Amino acid sequence: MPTSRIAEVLYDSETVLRLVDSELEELRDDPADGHPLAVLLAVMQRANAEIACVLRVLHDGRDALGEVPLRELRDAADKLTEVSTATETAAHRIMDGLDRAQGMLDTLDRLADEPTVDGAIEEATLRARLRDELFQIVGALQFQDITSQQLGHAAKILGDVGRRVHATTSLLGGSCTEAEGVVAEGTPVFAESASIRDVGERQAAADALFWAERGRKTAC
Amino acid sequence: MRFLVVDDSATMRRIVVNSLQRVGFTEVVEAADGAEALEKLSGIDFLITDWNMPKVSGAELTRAVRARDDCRSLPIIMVTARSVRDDILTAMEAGVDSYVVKPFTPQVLREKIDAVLASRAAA
Repeated sequence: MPTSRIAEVLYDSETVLRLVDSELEELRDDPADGHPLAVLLAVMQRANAEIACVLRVLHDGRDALGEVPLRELRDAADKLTEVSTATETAAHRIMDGLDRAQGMLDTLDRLADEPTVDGAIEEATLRARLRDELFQIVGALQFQDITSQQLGHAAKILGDVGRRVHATTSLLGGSCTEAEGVVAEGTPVFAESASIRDVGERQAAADALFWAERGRKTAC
Repeated sequence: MRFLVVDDSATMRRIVVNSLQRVGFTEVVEAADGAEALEKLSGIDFLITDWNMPKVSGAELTRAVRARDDCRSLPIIMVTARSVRDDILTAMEAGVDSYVVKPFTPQVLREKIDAVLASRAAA
């Protein structure tokens, strides 16, 4: 049920209950002992109290749940999708680098079997390229740091939602054991903007801002 | 030149150390967070720090370094996944000399180190 509809139902129910309460008060002013109306009055008063109690619990439950952070849940979903993409991209970069390195090693083996002057030059070039290639592979492993921060962000959002569900479940008298299990312990350390996307553009923007601010401060 | 590399991710520390060694800086000390870094500042010529770390963050570490008489002018580069405008301004106000966005290439890190050293030499 949409949040606005829930609020409407709660408001209407409370209004009706207030009217019923008022009617009951009027009946109470003129009780007739043993009269069937007096019995009916007692039953209705009990029913009224119980309905009011249920409404109060619903009210508290809605407050505990709060506005479900749909935007944040979408952010969490986006982060998880990016983690998947980043992992795959890094794996491909590493595999491609290893394939190229393997090809260079094969060529180095061939050159070692047939030593020539030109071969020695090519060998030196290949060794330098092989070092570069291995170095690029090490650099590709930065995805681990980025994805761990993205997972930390998603875990925080899910932890918040878990706590709200936990609070609501408690109010409604449900078992809290399983709800407690979804609440992450500790605060993960992460950057919300962590991403492997557009890093060149983000570095350029950071440089531009950095130098602009530095220039502004120097001018002052 | 002796570097101090601060990052709570052991993988990132290895990558930064590897990048430094690749461009000829072989003397590198490591710290897993800002608190540990503050204990290892003695004899350090250049600080490279992450931002998001437990206990003491990179920004807090930078402020603490700038507040110390013995290393007030220590070159500092922030290497971080944070790249929004306010973060960069906060890092600048804390006192970093340069800013590198993760994931970085060794070339970018080298350029920033060279620029900071050249700026210090010219000052």
